[in-house]
Amino acid sequence: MALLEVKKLKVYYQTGRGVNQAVDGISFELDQGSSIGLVGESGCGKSTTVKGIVRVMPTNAFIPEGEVYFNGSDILKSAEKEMRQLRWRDISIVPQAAMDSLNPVYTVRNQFLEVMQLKGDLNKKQALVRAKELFALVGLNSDLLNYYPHQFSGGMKQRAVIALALALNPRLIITDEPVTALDVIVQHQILNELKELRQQLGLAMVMITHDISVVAQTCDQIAVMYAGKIVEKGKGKQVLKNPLHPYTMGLKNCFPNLNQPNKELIAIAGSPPDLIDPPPGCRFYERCPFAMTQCQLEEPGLEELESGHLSACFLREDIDQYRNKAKEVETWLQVII
Amino acid sequence: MATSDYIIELHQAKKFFPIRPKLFRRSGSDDYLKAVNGVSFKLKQGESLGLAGESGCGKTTTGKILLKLCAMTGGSYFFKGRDITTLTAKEEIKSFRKQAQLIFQNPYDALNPRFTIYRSLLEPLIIHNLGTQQERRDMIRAVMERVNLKPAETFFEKYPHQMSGGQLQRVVLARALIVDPAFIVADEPVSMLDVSVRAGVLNLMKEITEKMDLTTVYISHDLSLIQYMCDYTAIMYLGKIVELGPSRELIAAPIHPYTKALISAVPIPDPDVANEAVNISNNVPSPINLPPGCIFQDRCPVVTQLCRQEEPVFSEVAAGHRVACHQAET
Repeated sequence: MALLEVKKLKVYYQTGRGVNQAVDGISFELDQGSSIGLVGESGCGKSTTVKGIVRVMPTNAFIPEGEVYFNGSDILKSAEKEMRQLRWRDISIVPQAAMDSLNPVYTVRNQFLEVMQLKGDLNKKQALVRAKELFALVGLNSDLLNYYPHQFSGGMKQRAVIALALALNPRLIITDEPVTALDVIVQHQILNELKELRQQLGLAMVMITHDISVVAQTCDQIAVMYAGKIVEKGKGKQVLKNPLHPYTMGLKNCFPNLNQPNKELIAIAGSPPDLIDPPPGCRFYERCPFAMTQCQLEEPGLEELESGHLSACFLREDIDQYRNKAKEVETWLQVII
Repeated sequence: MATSDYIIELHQAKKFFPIRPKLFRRSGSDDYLKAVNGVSFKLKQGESLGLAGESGCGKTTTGKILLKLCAMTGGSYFFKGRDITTLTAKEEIKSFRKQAQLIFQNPYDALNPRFTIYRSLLEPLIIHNLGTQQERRDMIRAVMERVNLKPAETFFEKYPHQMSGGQLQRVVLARALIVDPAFIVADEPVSMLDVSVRAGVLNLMKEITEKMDLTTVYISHDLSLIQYMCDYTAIMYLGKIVELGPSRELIAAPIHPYTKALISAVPIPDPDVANEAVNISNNVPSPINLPPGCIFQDRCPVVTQLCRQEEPVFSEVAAGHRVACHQAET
């Protein structure tokens, strides 16, 4: 049984102009100890997805449909009180801009103790021992516990926030852009640490990021999101090596690769559709160089084309040919917006 | 006026910031944050240089020095053979400003939200007193078409909030280009943009700077981006350039241990490439009281006794490739 199973989850926002269908029917599974990377551009719904999963949402958000099974029970149906039991103990979150999520007026030690005493039912002594353990786990000197957040560097804060998320031995950790604001050397160290910690503790992880190079190095599975939907999903290698969806092919062209100095960057023209009134067909239709008439009328479902590799696109045969075409600039210049 | 082959000649540029306000400063105290501590390089017309390094290494301050947006504490700076540090007359500074333009990191903040795009692009023409009324309109139209905002008229009356990030960055680029500069500093020009539009803006900048034969300095922490955009790459560490060379050569065969560590830590969008980084400690020493010797000694995996005593000279190891490391010299 999967540890986390998300089924056709929808998370909408009520706005002044209408209902924004930010996340529109997303499904994925995550086994104990494995990891999935949700990749996509800003506004594609990746953060909203995890906010929906743990139900920490702004007041104008609602979940019209969907099921989220954690450890076999549908947590969307559980009461807020039960959710509170679950958060931090079983599912913990390293929020976006984690560096700003520490309280500036308390020492780091106080913030660790607060979590563990309130949520973990430890007494002060036990909590302090645990806090020191956690600091050692993420490679911080335990003397630093007595410091205030402003005395920490960015990387140290990030490590402290990760340690805090691990405080109560969760089974699932959700990280939202965990290394975006950090320098490459620190970024690399944190990603490696996350990987080691996960192996050591048997942790499952959902990682949200816009950077495909980060997931390439850290996650077993990748789900590429576009305009509130998963357009492609599979093992890391499958998705990055042999993308099936034109959007993934295009996204790959956007990233410079240090090992390929001759690679030319190709942009995807246009911008994602307005999710208050999304188009009826494929949401990538307007920007897709391989769009067909069918794509405008009908929405392609997520279908398994190779073992464990799914794509939501009507291109289902001869994908090699399209993959090669997608590497050429001319292909993407044909798209007129 | 002196003539020179070089557009930019920066020699031993220094910028120190006092830590205490004037009132509390002890006389003779050397409590300074050495943001830029002896940076030298030269650029010919049309050449591009990328400044890379971790946050706090002084790359943005170097950019400010290049634009005379902050006064140097020491060193010399010649622009087209002219000493920029001694410019004091308002007119001279203005003429320098017209030739050296800046592209900002965040296009959402760089444009006045109450100005239409037309007004934003008109502003530099008013300041530098360029063109007549009719000429100005044509200039604005031309520059907008040059940055692919076509048809230009449809954007004239728009306000920044009505445009996307990619379009705004094009406006910021257009605003820099409209005064026909010779030199451009771009500070993290695409870090605020979404990945799918980044490539478009980068390609446009590359095309335009090549076509107009502009000298450019890109400031970025992203080495893959710098390799894509720049002829030369300079790696900065604690206010100094530790290695400078042709981008591809420097990235394919780095010499300085810091460059090696930095390059090995860059994530590669390919799951087959095992990312085995050179492990260095992650603590950058404070740029306030630096120890004698090499600035990288505390983190260097190949540090020797010599490195702790003597500062390595920034010297040439191959044509156009300079390194500040004792190990490189032998």
